[in-house]
Amino acid sequence: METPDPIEKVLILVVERDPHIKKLERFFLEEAGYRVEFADDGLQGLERARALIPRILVTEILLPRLDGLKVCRALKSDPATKDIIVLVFSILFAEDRALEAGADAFLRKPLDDARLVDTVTTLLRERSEAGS
Amino acid sequence: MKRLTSGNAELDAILGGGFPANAIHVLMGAPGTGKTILAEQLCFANASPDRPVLYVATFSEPLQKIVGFLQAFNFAKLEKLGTQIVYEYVGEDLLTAPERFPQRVQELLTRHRPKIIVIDSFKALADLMPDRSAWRRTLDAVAGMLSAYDTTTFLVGEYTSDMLTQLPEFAVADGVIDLTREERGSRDERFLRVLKLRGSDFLAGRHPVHINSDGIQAYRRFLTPAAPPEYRPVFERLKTGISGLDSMVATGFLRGTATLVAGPSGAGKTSLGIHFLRAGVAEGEPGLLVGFQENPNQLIRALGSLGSEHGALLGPGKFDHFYTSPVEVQIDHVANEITRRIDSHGVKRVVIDAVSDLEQGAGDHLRFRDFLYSLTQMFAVRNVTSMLLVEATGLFQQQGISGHTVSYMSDNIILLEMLLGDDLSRTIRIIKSRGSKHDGKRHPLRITQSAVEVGG
Repeated sequence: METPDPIEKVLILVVERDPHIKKLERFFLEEAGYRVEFADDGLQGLERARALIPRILVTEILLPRLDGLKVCRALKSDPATKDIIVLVFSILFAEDRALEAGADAFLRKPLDDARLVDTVTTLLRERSEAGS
Repeated sequence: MKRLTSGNAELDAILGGGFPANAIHVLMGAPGTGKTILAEQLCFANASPDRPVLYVATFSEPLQKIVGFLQAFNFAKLEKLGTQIVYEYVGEDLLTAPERFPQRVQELLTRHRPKIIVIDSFKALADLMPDRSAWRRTLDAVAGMLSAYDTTTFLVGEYTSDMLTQLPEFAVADGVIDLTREERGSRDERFLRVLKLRGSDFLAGRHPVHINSDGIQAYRRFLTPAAPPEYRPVFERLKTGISGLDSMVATGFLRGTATLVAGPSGAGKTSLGIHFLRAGVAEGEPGLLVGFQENPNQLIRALGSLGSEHGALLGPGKFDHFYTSPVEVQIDHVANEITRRIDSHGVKRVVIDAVSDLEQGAGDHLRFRDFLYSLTQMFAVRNVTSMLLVEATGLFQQQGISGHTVSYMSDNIILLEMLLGDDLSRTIRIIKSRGSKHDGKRHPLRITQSAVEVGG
Protein backbone atom coordinates (compact mmCIF):
# COMPACT_ATOMS: atom_id res chain seq x y z
CA MET A 1 0.00 0.00 0.00
CA GLU A 2 1.37 3.46 -0.98
CA THR A 3 2.11 5.98 1.70
CA PRO A 4 0.12 9.17 1.00
CA ASP A 5 1.93 12.49 0.76
CA PRO A 6 1.90 14.24 4.14
CA ILE A 7 0.78 17.39 2.29
CA GLU A 8 -1.54 17.05 -0.70
CA LYS A 9 0.24 18.50 -3.71
CA VAL A 10 -1.65 20.82 -6.03
CA LEU A 11 -2.50 19.07 -9.30
CA ILE A 12 -1.66 20.73 -12.60
CA LEU A 13 -2.91 19.25 -15.85
CA VAL A 14 -0.74 20.13 -18.82
CA VAL A 15 -2.19 19.77 -22.32
CA GLU A 16 0.79 19.71 -24.64
CA ARG A 17 1.97 17.60 -27.52
CA ASP A 18 5.64 18.67 -27.73
CA PRO A 19 7.65 16.02 -25.86
CA HIS A 20 10.49 18.42 -25.05
CA ILE A 21 8.25 21.04 -23.53
CA LYS A 22 6.45 18.34 -21.56
CA LYS A 23 9.74 17.13 -20.10
CA LEU A 24 10.73 20.64 -19.08
CA GLU A 25 7.30 21.50 -17.69
CA ARG A 26 7.26 18.33 -15.62
CA PHE A 27 10.75 19.04 -14.26
CA PHE A 28 10.18 22.67 -13.27
CA LEU A 29 6.62 22.31 -11.96
CA GLU A 30 7.45 19.21 -9.93
CA GLU A 31 10.55 20.93 -8.62
CA ALA A 32 8.29 23.78 -7.47
CA GLY A 33 6.21 21.27 -5.50
CA TYR A 34 3.29 20.57 -7.84
CA ARG A 35 1.89 17.29 -9.11
CA VAL A 36 1.76 17.19 -12.91
CA GLU A 37 -0.44 15.15 -15.23
CA PHE A 38 -0.46 15.36 -19.01
CA ALA A 39 -2.82 15.12 -21.95
CA ASP A 40 -1.52 14.97 -25.54
CA ASP A 41 -4.43 16.60 -27.37
CA GLY A 42 -7.37 18.90 -26.73
CA LEU A 43 -10.05 16.24 -26.51
CA GLN A 44 -8.02 14.15 -24.11
CA GLY A 45 -7.26 17.31 -22.13
CA LEU A 46 -10.97 18.06 -21.75
CA GLU A 47 -11.75 14.49 -20.71
CA ARG A 48 -8.94 14.39 -18.17
CA ALA A 49 -9.85 17.81 -16.80
CA ARG A 50 -13.42 16.64 -16.21
CA ALA A 51 -12.15 13.47 -14.56
CA LEU A 52 -9.31 14.88 -12.46
CA ILE A 53 -10.58 18.44 -11.73
CA PRO A 54 -7.05 19.89 -11.50
CA ARG A 55 -6.51 23.23 -9.78
CA ILE A 56 -4.80 24.55 -12.92
CA LEU A 57 -4.88 23.51 -16.55
CA VAL A 58 -1.95 24.68 -18.65
CA THR A 59 -2.68 24.38 -22.36
CA GLU A 60 -1.15 25.14 -25.71
CA ILE A 61 -3.55 26.53 -28.34
CA LEU A 62 -2.21 24.46 -31.22
CA LEU A 63 -3.38 20.97 -30.32
CA PRO A 64 -4.66 17.99 -32.29
CA ARG A 65 -8.39 17.18 -32.30
CA LEU A 66 -9.52 20.21 -30.26
CA ASP A 67 -7.61 23.48 -29.95
CA GLY A 68 -6.67 24.94 -26.59
CA LEU A 69 -9.10 27.86 -26.82
CA LYS A 70 -12.02 25.50 -27.35
CA VAL A 71 -10.83 23.46 -24.39
CA CYS A 72 -10.80 26.67 -22.35
CA ARG A 73 -14.31 27.71 -23.45
CA ALA A 74 -15.70 24.24 -22.76
CA LEU A 75 -14.25 24.19 -19.25
CA LYS A 76 -15.41 27.70 -18.41
CA SER A 77 -18.97 27.06 -19.66
CA ASP A 78 -19.42 23.90 -17.59
CA PRO A 79 -20.39 24.50 -13.92
CA ALA A 80 -18.41 21.39 -12.95
CA THR A 81 -15.15 22.68 -14.39
CA LYS A 82 -15.54 26.49 -14.52
CA ASP A 83 -13.41 26.96 -11.40
CA ILE A 84 -10.37 25.26 -12.92
CA ILE A 85 -7.78 27.96 -13.49
CA VAL A 86 -6.73 28.02 -17.15
CA LEU A 87 -3.29 29.21 -18.17
CA VAL A 88 -2.82 29.36 -21.94
CA PHE A 89 0.84 28.72 -22.73
CA SER A 90 1.38 29.02 -26.46
CA ILE A 91 3.81 29.68 -29.24
CA LEU A 92 1.20 32.02 -30.74
CA PHE A 93 0.87 35.72 -30.00
CA ALA A 94 -2.69 35.20 -28.80
CA GLU A 95 -3.12 36.83 -25.42
CA ASP A 96 -6.30 38.67 -26.42
CA ARG A 97 -7.86 35.56 -27.91
CA ALA A 98 -6.96 33.52 -24.84
CA LEU A 99 -8.46 36.04 -22.42
CA GLU A 100 -11.54 36.36 -24.61
CA ALA A 101 -11.94 32.56 -24.41
CA GLY A 102 -12.04 32.86 -20.63
CA ALA A 103 -8.43 32.02 -19.77
CA ASP A 104 -7.16 33.36 -16.47
CA ALA A 105 -3.70 34.14 -17.83
CA PHE A 106 -1.55 33.85 -20.91
CA LEU A 107 2.16 33.08 -21.31
CA ARG A 108 4.08 32.88 -24.53
CA LYS A 109 6.62 30.16 -25.30
CA PRO A 110 9.47 29.35 -25.11
CA LEU A 111 9.48 28.08 -21.60
CA ASP A 112 11.01 30.37 -19.02
CA ASP A 113 10.95 28.30 -15.85
CA ALA A 114 10.86 31.27 -13.47
CA ARG A 115 7.98 32.95 -15.33
CA LEU A 116 5.99 29.74 -15.58
CA VAL A 117 6.33 28.84 -11.90
CA ASP A 118 5.72 32.45 -10.79
CA THR A 119 2.57 32.68 -12.91
CA VAL A 120 1.21 29.39 -11.60
CA THR A 121 1.97 30.35 -8.00
CA THR A 122 0.41 33.79 -8.40
CA LEU A 123 -2.75 32.41 -10.01
CA LEU A 124 -3.17 29.91 -7.17
CA ARG A 125 -2.59 32.55 -4.52
CA GLU A 126 -5.04 34.98 -6.11
CA ARG A 127 -7.71 32.27 -6.37
CA SER A 128 -7.10 31.27 -2.79
CA GLU A 129 -7.39 34.89 -1.59
CA ALA A 130 -10.53 35.42 -3.65
CA GLY A 131 -12.10 32.32 -2.09
CA SER A 132 -11.22 33.13 1.50
CA MET B 1 11.87 40.55 -31.52
CA LYS B 2 14.31 40.15 -28.64
CA ARG B 3 17.92 40.26 -29.70
CA LEU B 4 21.32 39.60 -28.19
CA THR B 5 24.35 41.73 -28.81
CA SER B 6 27.33 40.09 -30.45
CA GLY B 7 29.62 42.31 -28.41
CA ASN B 8 30.44 44.35 -31.51
CA ALA B 9 28.20 47.19 -32.66
CA GLU B 10 29.08 46.77 -36.33
CA LEU B 11 28.26 43.08 -36.28
CA ASP B 12 24.99 43.86 -34.50
CA ALA B 13 24.16 46.25 -37.33
CA ILE B 14 24.98 43.55 -39.91
CA LEU B 15 22.61 41.23 -38.03
CA GLY B 16 19.81 43.78 -38.15
CA GLY B 17 20.20 44.64 -34.47
CA GLY B 18 21.90 41.59 -32.99
CA PHE B 19 21.32 37.85 -32.86
CA PRO B 20 17.59 37.02 -32.64
CA ALA B 21 16.94 35.52 -29.20
CA ASN B 22 15.32 32.10 -28.62
CA ALA B 23 16.88 30.78 -31.77
CA ILE B 24 19.56 28.31 -32.80
CA HIS B 25 22.54 29.88 -34.56
CA VAL B 26 25.45 28.10 -36.23
CA LEU B 27 28.86 29.77 -36.14
CA MET B 28 30.77 28.03 -38.91
CA GLY B 29 34.21 28.29 -40.43
CA ALA B 30 37.59 26.67 -40.86
CA PRO B 31 39.99 26.48 -37.90
CA GLY B 32 41.42 29.89 -37.04
CA THR B 33 38.61 31.99 -38.46
CA GLY B 34 37.45 33.28 -35.07
CA LYS B 35 34.38 31.17 -34.30
CA THR B 36 35.26 30.47 -30.69
CA ILE B 37 36.35 34.07 -30.12
CA LEU B 38 33.00 35.30 -31.41
CA ALA B 39 31.17 32.80 -29.21
CA GLU B 40 33.18 33.85 -26.14
CA GLN B 41 32.75 37.53 -26.93
CA LEU B 42 28.97 37.33 -27.13
CA CYS B 43 28.86 35.24 -23.95
CA PHE B 44 30.71 37.91 -21.97
CA ALA B 45 28.73 40.73 -23.58
CA ASN B 46 25.42 39.21 -22.51
CA ALA B 47 26.13 37.36 -19.27
CA SER B 48 24.61 38.83 -16.12
CA PRO B 49 23.28 37.43 -12.85
CA ASP B 50 19.80 37.09 -14.35
CA ARG B 51 21.11 36.01 -17.77
CA PRO B 52 23.45 33.08 -17.11
CA VAL B 53 25.46 31.54 -19.92
CA LEU B 54 26.44 27.90 -20.34
CA TYR B 55 29.45 27.02 -22.49
CA VAL B 56 29.55 23.32 -23.36
CA ALA B 57 32.92 22.09 -24.59
CA THR B 58 33.11 18.85 -26.55
CA PHE B 59 36.20 17.25 -28.08
CA SER B 60 37.80 19.61 -30.48
CA GLU B 61 37.85 22.46 -28.00
CA PRO B 62 39.15 21.21 -24.64
CA LEU B 63 38.04 23.37 -21.76
CA GLN B 64 41.58 24.19 -20.64
CA LYS B 65 42.36 25.60 -24.05
CA ILE B 66 39.15 27.61 -24.39
CA VAL B 67 39.50 29.26 -20.99
CA GLY B 68 43.27 29.64 -21.25
CA PHE B 69 43.27 31.60 -24.50
CA LEU B 70 40.24 33.58 -23.43
CA GLN B 71 42.29 35.63 -20.99
CA ALA B 72 44.11 37.37 -23.83
CA PHE B 73 40.97 39.35 -24.67
CA ASN B 74 39.80 42.56 -23.05
CA PHE B 75 36.17 41.45 -23.06
CA ALA B 76 36.95 38.51 -20.76
CA LYS B 77 35.82 39.78 -17.36
CA LEU B 78 37.11 36.87 -15.32
CA GLU B 79 34.82 37.63 -12.38
CA LYS B 80 31.94 36.37 -14.52
CA LEU B 81 33.52 32.93 -14.82
CA GLY B 82 31.92 30.25 -12.70
CA THR B 83 28.98 32.44 -11.75
CA GLN B 84 27.45 34.16 -14.77
CA ILE B 85 29.31 32.00 -17.29
CA VAL B 86 29.63 28.31 -16.52
CA TYR B 87 31.76 25.89 -18.54
CA GLU B 88 30.91 22.22 -18.81
CA TYR B 89 33.06 19.59 -20.51
CA VAL B 90 31.03 16.71 -21.92
CA GLY B 91 33.68 15.03 -24.07
CA GLU B 92 34.14 11.93 -21.91
CA ASP B 93 30.40 11.27 -21.61
CA LEU B 94 30.03 11.52 -25.34
CA LEU B 95 32.80 9.05 -26.04
CA THR B 96 30.93 6.31 -24.24
CA ALA B 97 27.37 7.20 -25.25
CA PRO B 98 27.05 9.92 -27.89
CA GLU B 99 23.37 9.16 -28.40
CA ARG B 100 22.69 10.24 -24.81
CA PHE B 101 23.57 13.83 -25.65
CA PRO B 102 19.89 15.02 -25.71
CA GLN B 103 19.44 13.82 -22.11
CA ARG B 104 22.70 15.52 -21.21
CA VAL B 105 21.42 18.75 -22.71
CA GLN B 106 18.23 18.48 -20.70
CA GLU B 107 20.23 17.89 -17.50
CA LEU B 108 22.40 20.91 -18.25
CA LEU B 109 19.41 23.12 -19.06
CA THR B 110 17.54 22.23 -15.90
CA ARG B 111 20.65 22.55 -13.76
CA HIS B 112 22.05 25.83 -15.09
CA ARG B 113 18.93 27.42 -16.68
CA PRO B 114 21.06 29.35 -19.16
CA LYS B 115 19.73 32.17 -21.31
CA ILE B 116 22.59 31.47 -23.72
CA ILE B 117 24.09 28.08 -24.46
CA VAL B 118 27.15 27.50 -26.64
CA ILE B 119 28.14 24.02 -27.84
CA ASP B 120 31.71 24.03 -29.11
CA SER B 121 32.38 22.01 -31.22
CA PHE B 122 29.01 20.76 -32.32
CA LYS B 123 30.42 19.22 -35.46
CA ALA B 124 32.73 17.03 -33.38
CA LEU B 125 29.63 15.59 -31.79
CA ALA B 126 28.17 14.66 -35.16
CA ASP B 127 31.43 12.97 -36.08
CA LEU B 128 31.00 10.55 -33.15
CA MET B 129 27.66 9.22 -34.27
CA PRO B 130 27.63 5.67 -35.64
CA ASP B 131 25.50 6.59 -38.63
CA ARG B 132 23.55 9.37 -40.27
CA SER B 133 20.15 8.33 -38.97
CA ALA B 134 21.45 8.21 -35.37
CA TRP B 135 22.75 11.74 -35.80
CA ARG B 136 19.44 12.95 -37.24
CA ARG B 137 17.55 11.52 -34.26
CA THR B 138 20.02 13.06 -31.83
CA LEU B 139 19.99 16.41 -33.59
CA ASP B 140 16.19 16.49 -33.68
CA ALA B 141 16.01 15.79 -29.95
CA VAL B 142 18.68 18.36 -29.07
CA ALA B 143 17.15 21.03 -31.29
CA GLY B 144 13.69 20.29 -29.88
CA MET B 145 14.91 20.65 -26.32
CA LEU B 146 16.84 23.84 -27.05
CA SER B 147 13.87 25.36 -28.89
CA ALA B 148 11.46 24.48 -26.07
CA TYR B 149 13.43 26.38 -23.45
CA ASP B 150 13.85 30.15 -23.24
CA THR B 151 17.46 30.17 -24.37
CA THR B 152 19.52 31.22 -27.37
CA THR B 153 21.85 28.58 -28.74
CA PHE B 154 25.12 28.88 -30.62
CA LEU B 155 26.43 25.75 -32.29
CA VAL B 156 30.10 26.19 -33.17
CA GLY B 157 31.66 23.97 -35.80
CA GLU B 158 34.33 23.59 -38.43
CA TYR B 159 31.76 23.45 -41.18
CA THR B 160 32.56 24.41 -44.74
CA SER B 161 30.24 25.94 -47.32
CA ASP B 162 29.80 22.67 -49.23
CA MET B 163 28.18 21.18 -46.11
CA LEU B 164 25.36 23.71 -46.11
CA THR B 165 23.07 21.66 -48.29
CA GLN B 166 24.27 18.31 -46.97
CA LEU B 167 24.07 18.47 -43.18
CA PRO B 168 20.85 18.54 -41.18
CA GLU B 169 22.36 21.03 -38.71
CA PHE B 170 21.73 23.78 -41.23
CA ALA B 171 18.07 22.85 -41.61
CA VAL B 172 17.38 23.21 -37.88
CA ALA B 173 19.44 26.39 -37.57
CA ASP B 174 17.63 29.72 -37.51
CA GLY B 175 20.84 31.64 -38.13
CA VAL B 176 24.07 30.72 -39.91
CA ILE B 177 27.18 32.89 -39.69
CA ASP B 178 30.10 31.92 -41.90
CA LEU B 179 33.59 33.07 -40.94
CA THR B 180 36.35 32.80 -43.53
CA ARG B 181 40.00 33.62 -43.97
CA GLU B 182 41.46 34.37 -47.37
CA GLU B 183 44.99 34.87 -48.57
CA ARG B 184 45.71 38.15 -50.35
CA GLY B 185 49.33 38.35 -51.34
CA SER B 186 51.40 37.90 -48.21
CA ARG B 187 48.60 38.72 -45.83
CA ASP B 188 45.41 37.04 -44.69
CA GLU B 189 42.06 38.76 -44.60
CA ARG B 190 39.10 37.62 -42.56
CA PHE B 191 35.46 37.95 -43.53
CA LEU B 192 32.06 37.22 -42.12
CA ARG B 193 28.87 36.46 -43.99
CA VAL B 194 25.36 35.94 -42.68
CA LEU B 195 23.97 33.04 -44.67
CA LYS B 196 20.64 32.76 -42.91
CA LEU B 197 18.77 34.66 -40.21
CA ARG B 198 15.21 33.41 -39.95
CA GLY B 199 12.64 36.14 -39.32
CA SER B 200 15.11 38.99 -39.47
CA ASP B 201 16.60 41.38 -41.96
CA PHE B 202 20.35 41.36 -42.23
CA LEU B 203 23.04 42.97 -44.29
CA ALA B 204 23.92 40.40 -46.95
CA GLY B 205 27.35 40.00 -48.46
CA ARG B 206 30.89 39.58 -47.23
CA HIS B 207 31.93 41.84 -44.38
CA PRO B 208 35.55 42.26 -43.32
CA VAL B 209 36.56 41.21 -39.83
CA HIS B 210 39.57 42.02 -37.69
CA ILE B 211 40.56 40.09 -34.62
CA ASN B 212 42.45 42.01 -31.99
CA SER B 213 42.61 42.19 -28.21
CA ASP B 214 39.03 43.49 -28.16
CA GLY B 215 37.85 40.36 -29.94
CA ILE B 216 36.00 40.20 -33.24
CA GLN B 217 35.65 43.59 -34.91
CA ALA B 218 33.41 43.46 -37.96
CA TYR B 219 32.97 46.23 -40.52
CA ARG B 220 29.83 46.56 -42.53
CA ARG B 221 30.32 46.05 -46.24
CA PHE B 222 30.15 49.58 -47.54
CA LEU B 223 26.93 50.17 -49.41
CA THR B 224 25.45 53.00 -51.40
CA PRO B 225 23.67 55.14 -48.84
CA ALA B 226 20.00 55.85 -49.19
CA ALA B 227 19.54 59.58 -49.71
CA PRO B 228 18.08 60.91 -46.47
CA PRO B 229 14.67 62.57 -46.78
CA GLU B 230 16.15 65.98 -46.15
CA TYR B 231 18.68 65.60 -48.96
CA ARG B 232 18.38 68.34 -51.55
CA PRO B 233 20.97 68.98 -54.23
CA VAL B 234 22.96 72.09 -53.42
CA PHE B 235 24.02 74.64 -56.00
CA GLU B 236 26.32 76.58 -53.73
CA ARG B 237 29.82 77.29 -55.07
CA LEU B 238 32.71 76.46 -52.82
CA LYS B 239 35.84 78.52 -52.25
CA THR B 240 38.68 76.04 -52.51
CA GLY B 241 41.14 78.56 -51.06
CA ILE B 242 43.48 77.88 -53.96
CA SER B 243 44.15 81.18 -55.65
CA GLY B 244 43.10 81.17 -59.29
CA LEU B 245 41.45 77.74 -59.24
CA ASP B 246 37.88 78.77 -58.43
CA SER B 247 37.68 81.14 -61.40
CA MET B 248 38.51 78.22 -63.74
CA VAL B 249 35.11 76.64 -62.93
CA ALA B 250 32.33 79.24 -63.08
CA THR B 251 32.91 80.85 -59.67
CA GLY B 252 34.06 77.69 -57.95
CA PHE B 253 33.35 73.99 -57.68
CA LEU B 254 29.86 73.00 -56.58
CA ARG B 255 29.65 72.02 -52.94
CA GLY B 256 29.15 68.28 -52.44
CA THR B 257 30.92 67.29 -55.65
CA ALA B 258 33.80 64.85 -56.08
CA THR B 259 36.90 66.05 -57.90
CA LEU B 260 39.43 63.68 -59.34
CA VAL B 261 42.95 65.12 -59.20
CA ALA B 262 45.23 63.11 -61.46
CA GLY B 263 48.90 63.61 -62.07
CA PRO B 264 52.31 61.98 -61.94
CA SER B 265 54.38 61.75 -58.80
CA GLY B 266 55.66 65.19 -57.80
CA ALA B 267 53.03 67.12 -59.79
CA GLY B 268 51.56 68.62 -56.61
CA LYS B 269 48.50 66.45 -55.94
CA THR B 270 49.10 66.06 -52.22
CA SER B 271 50.04 69.73 -51.83
CA LEU B 272 46.87 70.73 -53.62
CA GLY B 273 44.81 68.45 -51.38
CA ILE B 274 46.44 69.61 -48.18
CA HIS B 275 45.98 73.24 -49.14
CA PHE B 276 42.33 72.59 -50.00
CA LEU B 277 41.78 71.19 -46.50
CA ARG B 278 43.82 73.86 -44.78
CA ALA B 279 41.89 76.61 -46.56
CA GLY B 280 38.67 74.92 -45.50
CA VAL B 281 39.67 75.02 -41.84
CA ALA B 282 40.31 78.75 -42.25
CA GLU B 283 36.74 79.07 -43.60
CA GLY B 284 35.38 77.13 -40.60
CA GLU B 285 34.95 73.92 -42.57
CA PRO B 286 36.44 70.86 -40.87
CA GLY B 287 38.44 68.64 -43.20
CA LEU B 288 39.63 65.06 -43.31
CA LEU B 289 42.73 63.74 -45.03
CA VAL B 290 42.48 60.02 -45.69
CA GLY B 291 46.09 59.14 -46.27
CA PHE B 292 47.80 55.99 -47.38
CA GLN B 293 50.93 57.84 -48.45
CA GLU B 294 51.94 60.33 -45.75
CA ASN B 295 52.14 58.98 -42.25
CA PRO B 296 51.50 61.51 -39.43
CA ASN B 297 55.14 62.60 -39.29
CA GLN B 298 55.36 63.05 -43.03
CA LEU B 299 52.15 65.07 -42.97
CA ILE B 300 53.60 67.41 -40.34
CA ARG B 301 56.61 67.94 -42.59
CA ALA B 302 54.35 68.53 -45.62
CA LEU B 303 52.33 71.08 -43.69
CA GLY B 304 55.54 72.74 -42.58
CA SER B 305 56.69 73.08 -46.17
CA LEU B 306 53.45 74.97 -46.88
CA GLY B 307 54.12 77.26 -43.94
CA SER B 308 51.57 75.76 -41.57
CA GLU B 309 52.12 75.20 -37.87
CA HIS B 310 50.59 71.78 -37.39
CA GLY B 311 49.87 72.13 -33.68
CA ALA B 312 46.96 74.52 -34.09
CA LEU B 313 45.75 73.02 -37.35
CA LEU B 314 45.61 69.27 -36.86
CA GLY B 315 42.90 67.44 -34.97
CA PRO B 316 39.30 66.25 -35.21
CA GLY B 317 36.90 69.05 -36.04
CA LYS B 318 39.75 70.92 -37.76
CA PHE B 319 42.21 69.15 -40.04
CA ASP B 320 41.67 65.49 -39.21
CA HIS B 321 44.10 62.87 -40.45
CA PHE B 322 43.12 59.23 -40.90
CA TYR B 323 46.23 57.29 -41.83
CA THR B 324 46.32 53.63 -42.81
CA SER B 325 49.32 51.82 -44.19
CA PRO B 326 48.71 51.00 -47.87
CA VAL B 327 49.77 47.44 -47.05
CA GLU B 328 46.88 47.05 -44.61
CA VAL B 329 44.09 48.82 -46.48
CA GLN B 330 40.71 47.21 -45.86
CA ILE B 331 38.31 49.29 -47.92
CA ASP B 332 35.12 48.69 -45.94
CA HIS B 333 36.88 49.60 -42.73
CA VAL B 334 38.24 52.75 -44.38
CA ALA B 335 34.83 53.77 -45.68
CA ASN B 336 33.11 53.18 -42.35
CA GLU B 337 35.78 55.14 -40.53
CA ILE B 338 35.50 58.03 -43.00
CA THR B 339 31.72 58.04 -42.52
CA ARG B 340 32.09 57.95 -38.75
CA ARG B 341 34.52 60.87 -38.73
CA ILE B 342 32.38 62.92 -41.10
CA ASP B 343 29.32 62.39 -38.93
CA SER B 344 31.17 62.89 -35.64
CA HIS B 345 33.13 66.00 -36.52
CA GLY B 346 30.97 67.73 -39.11
CA VAL B 347 33.59 67.27 -41.82
CA LYS B 348 32.89 69.31 -44.97
CA ARG B 349 35.95 68.53 -47.04
CA VAL B 350 37.68 65.21 -47.64
CA VAL B 351 40.84 64.38 -49.54
CA ILE B 352 41.75 60.78 -50.34
CA ASP B 353 45.42 60.27 -51.06
CA ALA B 354 45.42 58.12 -53.09
CA VAL B 355 42.50 56.31 -54.67
CA SER B 356 44.83 53.76 -56.22
CA ASP B 357 45.61 52.46 -52.72
CA LEU B 358 41.90 51.79 -52.23
CA GLU B 359 41.85 50.03 -55.59
CA GLN B 360 44.67 47.75 -54.42
CA GLY B 361 42.76 47.06 -51.21
CA ALA B 362 39.56 46.22 -53.07
CA GLY B 363 41.16 43.28 -54.78
CA ASP B 364 38.95 43.22 -57.85
CA HIS B 365 37.73 45.84 -60.26
CA LEU B 366 34.02 45.21 -59.83
CA ARG B 367 34.20 45.52 -56.07
CA PHE B 368 36.24 48.71 -56.44
CA ARG B 369 33.72 50.23 -58.83
CA ASP B 370 30.82 49.51 -56.46
CA PHE B 371 32.81 50.76 -53.52
CA LEU B 372 33.83 54.00 -55.15
CA TYR B 373 30.32 54.71 -56.34
CA SER B 374 29.04 54.18 -52.80
CA LEU B 375 31.77 56.37 -51.37
CA THR B 376 31.11 59.31 -53.70
CA GLN B 377 27.36 58.97 -53.09
CA MET B 378 27.98 59.01 -49.35
CA PHE B 379 29.89 62.27 -49.78
CA ALA B 380 27.15 63.71 -51.97
CA VAL B 381 24.25 63.04 -49.61
CA ARG B 382 26.27 64.56 -46.76
CA ASN B 383 27.17 67.54 -48.90
CA VAL B 384 30.86 66.83 -48.40
CA THR B 385 33.18 68.17 -51.09
CA SER B 386 35.93 65.73 -51.91
CA MET B 387 39.19 65.49 -53.80
CA LEU B 388 40.22 62.04 -54.95
CA LEU B 389 43.91 61.93 -55.78
CA VAL B 390 45.09 59.51 -58.44
CA GLU B 391 48.65 58.69 -59.40
CA ALA B 392 48.95 59.04 -63.18
CA THR B 393 50.93 56.64 -65.30
CA GLY B 394 53.14 59.02 -67.26
CA LEU B 395 56.09 60.50 -65.38
CA PHE B 396 55.79 64.03 -66.72
CA GLN B 397 52.81 64.46 -68.97
CA GLN B 398 49.61 62.60 -68.46
CA GLN B 399 49.14 59.69 -70.82
CA GLY B 400 45.41 59.60 -70.17
CA ILE B 401 43.38 58.56 -67.21
CA SER B 402 41.18 56.07 -68.94
CA GLY B 403 40.90 52.80 -67.10
CA HIS B 404 40.32 54.58 -63.84
CA THR B 405 36.79 53.92 -62.72
CA VAL B 406 37.07 57.03 -60.68
CA SER B 407 37.11 59.30 -63.73
CA TYR B 408 33.47 58.76 -64.68
CA MET B 409 32.31 58.76 -61.09
CA SER B 410 33.83 62.19 -60.51
CA ASP B 411 32.00 65.44 -61.07
CA ASN B 412 35.21 67.27 -61.88
CA ILE B 413 38.58 66.21 -63.20
CA ILE B 414 41.73 68.20 -62.59
CA LEU B 415 44.83 67.18 -64.47
CA LEU B 416 48.28 68.08 -63.12
CA GLU B 417 51.33 67.79 -65.33
CA MET B 418 55.05 68.45 -65.13
CA LEU B 419 56.70 69.97 -68.19
CA LEU B 420 60.30 69.31 -69.07
CA GLY B 421 62.42 72.36 -69.79
CA ASP B 422 65.33 74.17 -68.18
CA ASP B 423 63.19 74.26 -65.08
CA LEU B 424 60.62 71.80 -63.89
CA SER B 425 57.29 73.52 -64.27
CA ARG B 426 53.97 72.26 -63.07
CA THR B 427 50.63 72.88 -64.78
CA ILE B 428 46.98 72.42 -63.99
CA ARG B 429 43.97 72.11 -66.25
CA ILE B 430 40.36 71.20 -65.74
CA ILE B 431 39.20 68.65 -68.23
CA LYS B 432 35.73 68.03 -66.83
CA SER B 433 33.30 69.86 -64.59
CA ARG B 434 29.82 68.36 -64.59
CA GLY B 435 27.10 71.02 -64.68
CA SER B 436 29.55 73.94 -64.83
CA LYS B 437 31.27 75.93 -67.54
CA HIS B 438 34.99 75.57 -67.12
CA ASP B 439 38.24 76.80 -68.49
CA GLY B 440 39.95 73.84 -70.11
CA LYS B 441 43.22 75.62 -70.71
CA ARG B 442 46.50 74.59 -69.17
CA HIS B 443 47.66 77.01 -66.43
CA PRO B 444 50.85 77.21 -64.41
CA LEU B 445 50.64 75.72 -60.93
CA ARG B 446 52.96 77.17 -58.32
CA ILE B 447 53.71 75.62 -54.96
CA THR B 448 55.26 78.33 -52.81
CA GLN B 449 56.51 78.45 -49.23
CA SER B 450 52.99 79.14 -48.01
CA ALA B 451 50.47 78.33 -50.69
CA VAL B 452 49.42 76.51 -53.83
CA GLU B 453 48.45 78.97 -56.57
CA VAL B 454 47.19 78.83 -60.12
CA GLY B 455 48.44 81.26 -62.72
CA GLY B 456 51.17 83.82 -62.69
